[in-house]
Amino acid sequence: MSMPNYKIIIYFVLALLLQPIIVATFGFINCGPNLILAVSLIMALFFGDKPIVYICAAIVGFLYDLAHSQFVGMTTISILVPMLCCLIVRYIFNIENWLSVLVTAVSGTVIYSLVYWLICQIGGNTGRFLYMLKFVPFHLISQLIILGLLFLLLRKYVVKHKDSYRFK
Amino acid sequence: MFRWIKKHKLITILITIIVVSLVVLVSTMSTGGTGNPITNGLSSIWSTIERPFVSVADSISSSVSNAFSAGDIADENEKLKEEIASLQEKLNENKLSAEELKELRELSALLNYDYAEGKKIVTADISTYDGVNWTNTFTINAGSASGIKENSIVCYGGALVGRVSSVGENWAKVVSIIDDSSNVSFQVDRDSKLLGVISGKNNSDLEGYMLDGEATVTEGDKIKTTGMGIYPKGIEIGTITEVKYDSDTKSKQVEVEPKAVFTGLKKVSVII
Repeated sequence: MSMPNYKIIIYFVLALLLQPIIVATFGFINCGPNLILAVSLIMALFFGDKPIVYICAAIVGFLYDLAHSQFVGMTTISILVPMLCCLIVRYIFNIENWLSVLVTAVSGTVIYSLVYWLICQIGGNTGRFLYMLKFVPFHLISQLIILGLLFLLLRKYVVKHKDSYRFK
Repeated sequence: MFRWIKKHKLITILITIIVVSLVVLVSTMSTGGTGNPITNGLSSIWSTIERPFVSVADSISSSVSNAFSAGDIADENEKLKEEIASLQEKLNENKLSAEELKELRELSALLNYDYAEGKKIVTADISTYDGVNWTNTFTINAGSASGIKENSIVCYGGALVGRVSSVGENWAKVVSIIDDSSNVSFQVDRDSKLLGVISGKNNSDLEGYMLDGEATVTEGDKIKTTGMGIYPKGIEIGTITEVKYDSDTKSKQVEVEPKAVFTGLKKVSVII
């Protein structure tokens, strides 16, 4: 059972609209999760063969940048790079287990932070690398929680174990 | 070629998305993040759509903050009541006659004492912060329609907060002074000959150096803007918390705690 395209779009739209609420609510403790990144990662992990996932992530990233970021396109690129890494995770791991979610959350969050930092550097914001790294653990914990919840919500759409390509 | 594209739809879409995003990113970077008419127009539309959600975010955020500080509110309320009463007494004592007030206004204008004198101030709510925790940019819900321009100065309670980096009709993006990319020239409040430059440390503090390596600055000195560059003269920046002498560069390094408290900042005023 695969997830219909309209549901994928709904998830991305919800992530985009709820992200400001999440930032405002958790911003004061400096560990706000990135809902757009979490939805993009889980979608790339579960439905990485569907082009709609990447198109939605790019549009949502672009819209978020328009309203909130210093440069338009930085969120889009920062999200797309870890999404591409999810394709590797998808190939190596069984996607319907918790380990794949853990690997996706850790690699995705770290790569996202690095790419975002790199774009900031190119754009003239000379934020220190170590300072950025300080926030990664907080960010990682919140991303793990969100990705875990999304995993529970979406795993019914993932191909069942016996149908996996490994057992064909 | 077309056969290859048909066969590799996913790869083609991915390459297209990445190339388009890179082109948009490079074009906005080349304009210093100020955007172009197309992106600015889209931003205005998107800000309007997003506004109700941001209002919800604000109320949720306030509720969460209040839940954590409910115990302190009653005490604070009592203290504020006492403070209001004592201030009211002082106000009655210190009421100036109209003539005295006019005289003082003329004097302040002559000395350029008040940075906002004769300038219009627009108040705005912070709609959202940047998505990551380590950059220091945020968006406010007022823009060119209210007279805000690029490089307009943003303050809070007389303290310097930052500058407007890009502006749309009803929104503006603000880069705070604690961002690494900000550089502000300052003078020490007690002696205006002591000058220096300060920039963000990318946390909640500022760091900088004195132009004169022999400058006699001490911890506790208050610093203000000098009027050089885009920042008007006389806006309070913060208090020096540490002074170090760097023997390699023969300069005095200072660390400053900004007067504006950036965590939990909800409203700002923009000088236009």
